[in-house]
Amino acid sequence: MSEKKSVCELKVFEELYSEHSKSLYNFAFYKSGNSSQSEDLVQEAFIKMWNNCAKIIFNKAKSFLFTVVNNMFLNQIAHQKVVLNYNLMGGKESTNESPEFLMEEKEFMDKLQNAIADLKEGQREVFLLNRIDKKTYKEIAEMLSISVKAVEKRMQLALKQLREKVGNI
Amino acid sequence: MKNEHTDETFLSRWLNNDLTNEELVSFQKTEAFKEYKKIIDATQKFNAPNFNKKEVLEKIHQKISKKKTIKLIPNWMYAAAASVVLLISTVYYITGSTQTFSTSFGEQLALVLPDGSEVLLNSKSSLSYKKSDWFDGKRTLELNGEGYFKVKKGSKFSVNSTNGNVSVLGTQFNVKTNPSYFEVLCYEGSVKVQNKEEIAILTKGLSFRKIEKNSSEKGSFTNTKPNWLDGESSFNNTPLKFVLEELEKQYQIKITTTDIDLNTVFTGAFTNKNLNLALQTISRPLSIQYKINDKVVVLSKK
Repeated sequence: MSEKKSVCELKVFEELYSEHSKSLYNFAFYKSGNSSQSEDLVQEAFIKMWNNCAKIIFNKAKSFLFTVVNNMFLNQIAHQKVVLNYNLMGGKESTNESPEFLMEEKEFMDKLQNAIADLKEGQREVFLLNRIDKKTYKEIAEMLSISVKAVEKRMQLALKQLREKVGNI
Repeated sequence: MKNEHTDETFLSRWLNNDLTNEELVSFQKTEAFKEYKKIIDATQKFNAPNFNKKEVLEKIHQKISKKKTIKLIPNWMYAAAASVVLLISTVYYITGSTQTFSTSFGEQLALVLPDGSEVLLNSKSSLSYKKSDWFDGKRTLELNGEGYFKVKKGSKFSVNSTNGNVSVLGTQFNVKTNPSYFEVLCYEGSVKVQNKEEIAILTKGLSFRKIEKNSSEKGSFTNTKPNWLDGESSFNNTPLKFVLEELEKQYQIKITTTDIDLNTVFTGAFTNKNLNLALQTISRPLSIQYKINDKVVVLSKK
């Protein structure tokens, strides 16, 4: 724990990249709903980390990255209204189902996807980080620099709102 | 029972498997549970788009290395470039350029030469020297007009003019050189004067003068410094022509004469501060009258 790693070392930098880039990307994607914008955000965050490497303690690198993405995202939407276009990809499709079931299923998935897109950004990122990325509430709280309690509340509100939107199909 | 799953983190706890057995059992019996379950199950099927981890890392590497090169260039390249420029300009400054100083009508100029020697330039005079010569220890300069030199001891110090050269080792002397008038006065130490025809060594209080094609004259004086430093122009048996020339230089005027012998010699001094007074000093002993017309002064016999 106390070993001192310098973010300025390329090896350490790449280690951080391989560990966090994907979740950072997902985080950005859940926020923005735009994959190329998310890639850019990840790229910018790591470059920013590299340029400020001397000031960043290894243990704080992760939260630095998420904070940078969060801030940059907020700066970007200040200039442009993001059109939420969630291209969440469906999982493996089982071919044993009847066509009606598949239709219904597809309909439900579309509805759910729209409902997720309609969530408030703060709720959506928490919900998807937990459900898709399997991040614990504690991890999410650290990423967003909020309390675990706040994460739990957001989860609850997100789920409630999804149920209202999707209804009982 | 209905309110059980409505506290503000109940659903979160359910998703986190943090519910007690009892809570879970009662929750599973509700209609809401099925819907929540369906939503949650469906959500598991979602995935974020693939992330091109490698591609983005490559882009980052490119940008980082670009940034680093940009940063590195100023650190040493600019410094190197600057020092090269500095070196070239210093060499040029020291060796290449010729320094020229000149004075206009009525002006005087005090200069300190690269070796610390001082020069006072009288009106309408110019002095130039090559920096390279001085850098090499050769103290040489060109004079046109009149200058008073206080030379620091050291290597040979020479003043070149069209009329001859004056060289010294460390002394004070005055050189006046016009196209047809050449005069050197030594105030301290000794001076060697050399022109095409002769060489003369002057010691303190001796003067050397050559006017036009006449043979040179040697004289003596008692001043400790040239009068012109105090705002006076003094002459000793000098043809009127050169006296008037000096007057023109000091006051930026044009002098025309009628019926006057310009070779009459004049001994005396005129002030460089008051034209009327200066004209009186010259004209009275020579029985001349003068008329000032703006910048033109007409001299004629009384």
